[in-house]
Amino acid sequence: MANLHIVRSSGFTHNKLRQCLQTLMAADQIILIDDGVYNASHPDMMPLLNTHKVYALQDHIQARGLTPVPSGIELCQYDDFVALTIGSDKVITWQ
Amino acid sequence: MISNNRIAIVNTATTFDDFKAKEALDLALIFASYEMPVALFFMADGVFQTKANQNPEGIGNKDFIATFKALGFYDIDDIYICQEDMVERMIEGELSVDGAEILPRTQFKQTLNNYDLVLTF
Repeated sequence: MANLHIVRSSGFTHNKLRQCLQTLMAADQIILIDDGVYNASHPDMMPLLNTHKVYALQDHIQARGLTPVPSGIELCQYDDFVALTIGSDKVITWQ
Repeated sequence: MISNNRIAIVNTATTFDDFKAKEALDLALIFASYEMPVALFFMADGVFQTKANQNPEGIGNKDFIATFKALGFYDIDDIYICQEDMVERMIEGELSVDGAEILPRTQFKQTLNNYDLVLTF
């Protein structure tokens, strides 16, 4: 009943983050990877942190010098990413 | 003729968006090697390139951002970053480039307008 949304691009330049948020259901989860990790501090992301679980791949955050991340964003490893994928009904990639 | 022109290289892409950031830097270094006057501008998502403590090797990329520290050796001293775009993206503190001028957008675009040749990446 819950989907995993994978966001792969910066919401400051591309509109994929907005499109993701427009289709987001109450129980859905989000993971930020690649340039999607820049959305950790995007204004559209802030209100979401109270209502949804939002993850970001730690390696991709560190590669871009984005630590520390805003509280509410949970850093995860590749194996956590795999587990999230398996645990979700559907995986929707925004790229 | 082109050798008298002042060249501006404008970075609008993130560090790992294709190879735009790497190619922009390579071109700047090539121009500088031929003693052509070149300046670097960072705006929009390009300002993310100026964040300190990036670790490209952590995701299997070459650390070309470290080359920013060598820009002075190439006599690339004119480096400008758009202040509004930094604030919007909450970029503060240490930078990956030395001696950069952080300019409000009005000054940023006026400065860019002084260049003869503008290349965006």
